[in-house]
Amino acid sequence: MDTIRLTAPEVEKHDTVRHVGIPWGPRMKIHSRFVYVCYPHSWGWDRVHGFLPSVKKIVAVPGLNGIPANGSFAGTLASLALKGATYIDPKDSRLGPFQNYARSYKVVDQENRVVGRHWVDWCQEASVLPNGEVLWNRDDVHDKFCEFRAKIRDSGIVSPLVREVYLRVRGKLEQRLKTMSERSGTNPRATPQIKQMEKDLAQMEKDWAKLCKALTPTTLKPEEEA
Amino acid sequence: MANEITSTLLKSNGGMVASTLSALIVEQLWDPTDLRAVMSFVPFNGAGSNVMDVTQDAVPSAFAAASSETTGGQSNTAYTTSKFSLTPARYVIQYQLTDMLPIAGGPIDIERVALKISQGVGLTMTDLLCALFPSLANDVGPGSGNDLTVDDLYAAQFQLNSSNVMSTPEMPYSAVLHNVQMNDFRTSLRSETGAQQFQDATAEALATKGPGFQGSWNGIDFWQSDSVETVNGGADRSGAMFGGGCFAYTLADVRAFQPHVPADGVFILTDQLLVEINRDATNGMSELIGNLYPSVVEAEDLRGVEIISDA
Repeated sequence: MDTIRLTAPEVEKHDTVRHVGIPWGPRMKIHSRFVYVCYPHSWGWDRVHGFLPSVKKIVAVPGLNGIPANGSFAGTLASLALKGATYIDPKDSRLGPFQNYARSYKVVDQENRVVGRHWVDWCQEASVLPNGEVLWNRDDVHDKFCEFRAKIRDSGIVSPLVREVYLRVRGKLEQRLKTMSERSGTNPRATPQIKQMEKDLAQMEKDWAKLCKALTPTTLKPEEEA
Repeated sequence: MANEITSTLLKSNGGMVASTLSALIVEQLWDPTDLRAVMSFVPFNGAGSNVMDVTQDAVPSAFAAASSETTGGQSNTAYTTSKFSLTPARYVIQYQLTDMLPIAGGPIDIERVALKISQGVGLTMTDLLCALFPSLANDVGPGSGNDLTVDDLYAAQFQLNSSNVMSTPEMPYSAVLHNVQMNDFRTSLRSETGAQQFQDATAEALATKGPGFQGSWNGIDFWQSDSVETVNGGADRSGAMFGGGCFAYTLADVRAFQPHVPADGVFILTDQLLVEINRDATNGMSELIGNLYPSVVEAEDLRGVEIISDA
């Protein structure tokens, strides 16, 4: 064999691992795909957006409430419709910017291989710290989620709020105000909360009056005996 | 002075090692809450279907006054039954160990890994139950983004009472809350006065009810679980309070498919859990595969109420 001369040693390349998803850890719970439904009696109230329908999350977990192994919602949604629930289809164009409200992040293992998908609402964002801890933007999603609920209300996907449900929502706040007022003597910190609740009640009545102008609700009246 | 014999020298040249392994094993932090205690167990009878319907009997009706002593007759009263369905699905977990582990003499062995698999059964059932809370039709809470207070627990209790959900000493209401919700509730309790005190779980109560049980207040059993999900874009946690019979579960008998598994492939076999061992002799590895067939369902929605408060 002839003598050879090697003159170009290779530089060792450092592999830079760039996380592309949420790092999976033993204490992390990966959330499954979900959809929302609304019940006609389930409404809430927000100071900025007024009366909003409450959305109930139905998750596609096999073995749960009749969800089969393939994760199909069909049977579950059919039985919920019989109970009066309205399905909020993620693909419904009436949702506008909130279409596809259920989205996912990739979940990766230590070798950066994708091991699953973590399903979240469209507005949820995460910061992954260098130690792998995941911090979610819990504190600034409230308004965005209220806008989503307002869109469901205004787009006609759900039936409008009826007076009896409004009275129930108002009654809950009145009850809370009453309880807080009874304890205000022993708890001085209750006073500003009581004042806020009184303002909220007044605002609630204005919001209801606004809704009434926009709608002509159908209410049953008892029949007179012939 | 020179030529001291130091630990650094011996570690470098021989005579000491960098570290040794203690025989003691300690647990890392985890939530062992097992919420099967608050659900109704329904044995699964696989008689030709993977779906089992459970009948809910009709409610009795009060008598009605006859319109006349001699004529008029009587029309039939409706007998309206209902049902819920349990649909077991396969749940599986797998670990793979190399033969080098026992050769090296470490404390993590195949028995310990099998123990982790069996402990995972309770975690799985807890996760499944907590995933159902956001679908409860009724809810109470202080409003999105606000901390849970004692008033909200009262509101939940009143909601259940209004729906005729019974609470008895044998089957009291159960409240399952996230750790954050539990902290907020305890904080709110500090400003309460009166005879109603939170009774922390005693050792006997923990032994009876299982891990995750926090104590009792106002006749309600409190449980805490980090499996309680987030809702409203992640801003809030969705706990629940419910009476007996609200949720039902089954764990199908895995011994039914034992004939499919060679006898020497069975590592653990109970009526609920089958752990198989799969040997890869070529690569010197052994797999432990745990099999479970659970199903959890909302048996009767009105028996429960969702508790939504700040996450």
